[in-house]
Amino acid sequence: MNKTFTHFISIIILIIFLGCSDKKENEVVFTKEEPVKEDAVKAWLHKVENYKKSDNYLVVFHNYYNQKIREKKYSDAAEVLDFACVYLADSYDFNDRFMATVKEFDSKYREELPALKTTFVDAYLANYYYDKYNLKKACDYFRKITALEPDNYDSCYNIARAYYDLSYIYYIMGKQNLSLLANQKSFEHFSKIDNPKGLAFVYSNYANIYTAIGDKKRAIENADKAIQSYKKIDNTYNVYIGLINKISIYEYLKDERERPLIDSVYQAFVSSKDESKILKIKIFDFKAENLIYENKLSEAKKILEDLKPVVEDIASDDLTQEYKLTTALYEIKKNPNYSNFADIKKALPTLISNQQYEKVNMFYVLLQNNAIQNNDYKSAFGYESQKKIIADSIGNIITRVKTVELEKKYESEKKAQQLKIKEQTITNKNTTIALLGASLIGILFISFAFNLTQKQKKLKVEKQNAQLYTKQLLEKTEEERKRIASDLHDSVSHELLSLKNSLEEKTEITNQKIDAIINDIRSISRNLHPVMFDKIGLKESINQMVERAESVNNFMVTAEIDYISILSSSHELQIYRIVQEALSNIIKYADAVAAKISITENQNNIIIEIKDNGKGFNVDETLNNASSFGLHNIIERSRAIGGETTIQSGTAGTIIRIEIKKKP
Amino acid sequence: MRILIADDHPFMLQGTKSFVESYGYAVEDTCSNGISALNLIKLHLPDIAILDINMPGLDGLDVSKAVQESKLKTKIILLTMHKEMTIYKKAKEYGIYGYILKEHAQTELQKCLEEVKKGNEYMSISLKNDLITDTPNDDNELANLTLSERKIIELITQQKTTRQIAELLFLSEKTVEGHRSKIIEKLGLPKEKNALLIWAMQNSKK
Repeated sequence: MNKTFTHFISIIILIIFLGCSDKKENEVVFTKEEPVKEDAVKAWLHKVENYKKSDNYLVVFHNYYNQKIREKKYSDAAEVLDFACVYLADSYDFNDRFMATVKEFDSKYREELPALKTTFVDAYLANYYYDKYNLKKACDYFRKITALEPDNYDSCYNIARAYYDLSYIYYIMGKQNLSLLANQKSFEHFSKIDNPKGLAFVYSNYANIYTAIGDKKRAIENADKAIQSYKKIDNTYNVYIGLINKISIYEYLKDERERPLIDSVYQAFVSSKDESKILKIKIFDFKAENLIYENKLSEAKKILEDLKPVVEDIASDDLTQEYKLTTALYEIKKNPNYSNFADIKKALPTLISNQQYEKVNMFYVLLQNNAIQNNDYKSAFGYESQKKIIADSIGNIITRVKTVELEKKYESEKKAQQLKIKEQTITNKNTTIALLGASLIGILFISFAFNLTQKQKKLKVEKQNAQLYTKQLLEKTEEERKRIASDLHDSVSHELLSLKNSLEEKTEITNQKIDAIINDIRSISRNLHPVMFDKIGLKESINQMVERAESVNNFMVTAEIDYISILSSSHELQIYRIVQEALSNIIKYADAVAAKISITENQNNIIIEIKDNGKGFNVDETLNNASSFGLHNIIERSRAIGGETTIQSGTAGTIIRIEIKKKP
Repeated sequence: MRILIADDHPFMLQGTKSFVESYGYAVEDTCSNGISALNLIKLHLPDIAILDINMPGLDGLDVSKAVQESKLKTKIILLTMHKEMTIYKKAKEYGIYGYILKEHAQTELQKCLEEVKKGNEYMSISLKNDLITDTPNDDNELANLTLSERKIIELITQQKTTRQIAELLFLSEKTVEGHRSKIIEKLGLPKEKNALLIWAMQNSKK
């Protein structure tokens, strides 16, 4: 019991402890430190605008950096190198000169500074290898950073960022599980410094990973979270990026919510009068596609025309291609025999790499139809096989989504099952505990009962032994008495008789004296043992006793003996003794007018009853009294022959009743 | 007259033999145990067998019983130290002719032999005496009454009804009534109503 209680307590403590530590994980651990005052050059280098706008940023940097190295102020050198590394990596600028500087720092001066201060080196190299598409090496460098434990806001940010990048690389590599893990770590570290932007990135990343896995629900959830996080930092641009991302997810996962979302985002963007051209292209493009889909071609044409100058202004390959594709879609819809395929053919690889298979498929149909019209069967055949591959890809995505859904369903079922099993286990445990408890109690009871029966058995045996002893004692006593009686009778009486006969001087007095002695001996002998009891039997012996009582004590006794000898002589003798004892008690104490002795038998018992109409006595009191030898004598004797004694006494007299079971 | 004597006490046996012979009877066999006695009785069929009761082997009663069962003509006289009515009664069941006590052999044996020879039964006078040991001698009339009868008179003087008397003495009313008429008869009272009560009241006053 105590043990269980201790376990219970310790479990509760554990739960509380875990609860506390759980909370801690979501707590902000590091806050942003007050920026240290920087000298003018360093402050200038710190500003990202200067890197973007000024062409001689790197020149200024090299001068400052080399000077600090010469002055052996490695910390200052590292700081500016950090700025440069971040800015260059972000813009994918990996020029040889800067790379040489980084590598020199890495090999010569890095050891002078704490590891957490120089993670930018690894980050820069990781980005470099990523750009060179050496993903494995990129991973290795990022992992160098993530191996460290943060000690302040900046280091924590760097590690969070490294995890984020690592997650992204895993995502590209298709290792979605590792990607998820890294993203989770990134999330934890961004949480520690409460960086909403970082968290928004993480959520976007989650959305992408879950999209790739096909976990629609989580993908959308995280896309929403990313949007929320962007809203929190009031970054409208990124909010739209988040929304666009969400639309892409819907598109990829073939969700019907895609089109209403496009409409609402479009409405919001138009009414917000946002100036961002990139956003405009993206959102208008979606809207146009929507309208084409809905067959509202005039409206679609209007939007496409509205967008044309913007696309031309931005002149981004990627965006232009997208615009051209949408336009092509519009044209195809309008004119099924459209045959300007140059743009389409150019766009196809990008579409495939973006897994926009629906569009690809549509274009392949167009190309194939065109080829057939032009009797170019070879091309038509090629498109057919391409179509098949694409169809497979679409199928793959659908299957993947379905598989994931099924898997999730299965998992939830499995979870439910596991829960059920757990519950069952708990019930089973409880049942087992209950059973164990019950059986323990049972065992206790059984052992108790066993003990009790053993004790009872022992007591019974002891009782039996005591009874046997009493019986034997009584029998031996009787034997002894019989022997003495017969010795007296046979030897002493006969000796006296021969003395009487051999006396030479015979006088009347001596004769009388000798006769008197003989008579005395006779009466002593008779009292010791009823004469020739074996021969005479119980009935006659008791009758004799009664007669003697009447004649000697002048006391009236009636005997009613209806008994055919079935008990052994020694048992009968005990009955005789009982009657004798009872009768002598009555004569001595009862003050009765008369007594009655009856011995009767029925089918099972022999019943001996000695009644008197005397003054009676208190049975319990008398039995507890030390002087009540007579009554105990009766009880003991009857017990020795297997009889049960009941004594009733009152003012109307006493009844002693002994029932002896006949042996079957 | 051929007589057999059996007794396990040699002196007693010798004494008895002397007595019997002195009375002019021939003692054919003597023995000191029951088994021999029975064998000799069966062999010689004596007229009378004088047997002690307590003997090794078979006792006198056993021999008597065997003789009765074998329907032998030998008449049995028990010569014993047992002054017991119960034994006498038991022996009577076995058809014995005489029962005398050893201490009174000198005075009773001759008479007993004579009676048995005639075919009569003889029981020791002292045995009869033994049964009426405690009779009140002061009142001749009461002396003839049994204990039950005396008790009934005692209760009648206490004005008890027959039913009450019966209850007090653990007897049936019928038995009490029987005792009453026996008493009236014994006392020679007139057969009137309340005659016994009047007599009892008068006598109790004395």
